[in-house]
Amino acid sequence: MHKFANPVRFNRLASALLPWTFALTVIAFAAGLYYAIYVSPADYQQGESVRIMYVHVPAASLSLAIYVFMAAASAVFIIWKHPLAVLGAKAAAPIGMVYCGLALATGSIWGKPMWGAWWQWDARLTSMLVLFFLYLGYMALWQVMEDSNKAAKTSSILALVGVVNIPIIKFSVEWWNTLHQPSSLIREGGSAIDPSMMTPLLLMLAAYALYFVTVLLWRMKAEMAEKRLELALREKVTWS
Amino acid sequence: MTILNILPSLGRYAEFVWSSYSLSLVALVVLAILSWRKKKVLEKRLEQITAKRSKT
Repeated sequence: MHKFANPVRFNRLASALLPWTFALTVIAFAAGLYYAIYVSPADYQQGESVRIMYVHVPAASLSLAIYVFMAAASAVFIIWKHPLAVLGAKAAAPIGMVYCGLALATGSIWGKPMWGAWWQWDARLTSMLVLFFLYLGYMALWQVMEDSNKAAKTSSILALVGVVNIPIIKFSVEWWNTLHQPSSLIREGGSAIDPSMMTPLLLMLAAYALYFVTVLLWRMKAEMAEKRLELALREKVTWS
Repeated sequence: MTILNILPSLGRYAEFVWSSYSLSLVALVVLAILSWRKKKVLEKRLEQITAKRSKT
């Protein structure tokens, strides 16, 4: 891990990986969308609206995974002072926020025909909304604090404290009487999804995951360039 | 052949499904473009400053 603490080495690795992750993202989206729209069947209860699952579930699942990634990166930064760890967390936050926002929006659009309501103060929906505010709060801390070292420490603490929300979101459908359906992908006794729906769902999950990796690498390269620019401009001021 | 002829008919759920897909794709494309542009702009500025410093 410390091998990649060297920004030059990491930058080189990111540049080598990016064409592949970008190409795989495009392929996965093309295949996933084809299966989701043309191949997968309608649900016997939900009809064609079940196709919203193929954009809603990947966005929701990945928004949770990205927050866990941010919390892990923040822990690595706080414990080992790994310089790229906090940049990774900072770069991941906007992606996680967009995924969380999409999960809420597509969930709301799906809820209208199924539940008859755009929104319910249900445990799953409410805890996802809390996650969205955690993402916003994390990004706001970086924006408002002028001292980047202070921003790094404060935002890392927020990421670590907020991670307690992740198991609450995951198990909310089991702990409380919720409107949201229980888990059907990762659950005791195995998945409850038919293979004809599992294939497009897994393809779209892969597409969203590859998209995250691609955009994360772009954003990390941007963060590293920004850091180097800051140092270069600081030296210029010192010398002049 | 319009785009509507290529897409399957989804009956009464069409507006819900297509608005979900459109919103998702637009959001992801915009985020990707903004991220890529941010990287390009900052790397270009860094290159210019590095080039200026190596000349002086």
